[in-house]
Amino acid sequence: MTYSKGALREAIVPHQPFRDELAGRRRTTLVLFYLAALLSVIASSLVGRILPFRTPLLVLAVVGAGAAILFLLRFLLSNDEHERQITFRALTFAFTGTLVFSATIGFLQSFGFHPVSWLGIPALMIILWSIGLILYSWRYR
Amino acid sequence: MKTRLRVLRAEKEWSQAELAAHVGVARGTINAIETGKYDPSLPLAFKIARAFGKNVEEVFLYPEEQDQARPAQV
Repeated sequence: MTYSKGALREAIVPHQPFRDELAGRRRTTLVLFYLAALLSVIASSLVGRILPFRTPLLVLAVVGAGAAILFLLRFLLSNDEHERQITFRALTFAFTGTLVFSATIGFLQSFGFHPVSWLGIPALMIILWSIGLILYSWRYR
Repeated sequence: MKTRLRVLRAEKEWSQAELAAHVGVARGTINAIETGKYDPSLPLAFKIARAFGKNVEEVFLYPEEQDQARPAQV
């Protein structure tokens, strides 16, 4: 069986959706993740301060955290292999940074340093992950 | 790893975004491969080569000096 050169090329290079449109969607997903995470952190921090709205604030915090996780997963799944490598390095950076920060704070607390809210840990992880994404995207651009 | 991606793209008059669309990756990934900052996986290398109708060896060049500089340890 013989194929013309054009037909063979048509067969081996299937049409795929234009990724730059997907890049826009990825950016939107990331922004939605930040908004959901911010909403969750703000609601969690207000739970103990505004007692009449304790239950709605708790619900808002949990829903926000769930939405943030969903948007994060959607963002991670839309990455190609190079972007996945950048994300992995950024996660490593955030994990190591948070570990060092937590250990330092724990050590300083034994010398009387005032306690830090547990809400600071996920917030710090997100901030370090974002810094890692910017740093490694710039480095491997 | 060296690559002839830029030359092949110029021959086809494809932008980085067009090649990225053909192989299903982000434009930044094509740019990183062209500038030598990222070595693609074997499946992606094959996809790129096939997009140009070439073999992998015609698109990506592995410098032999790298092997000579670091002899395999037994």
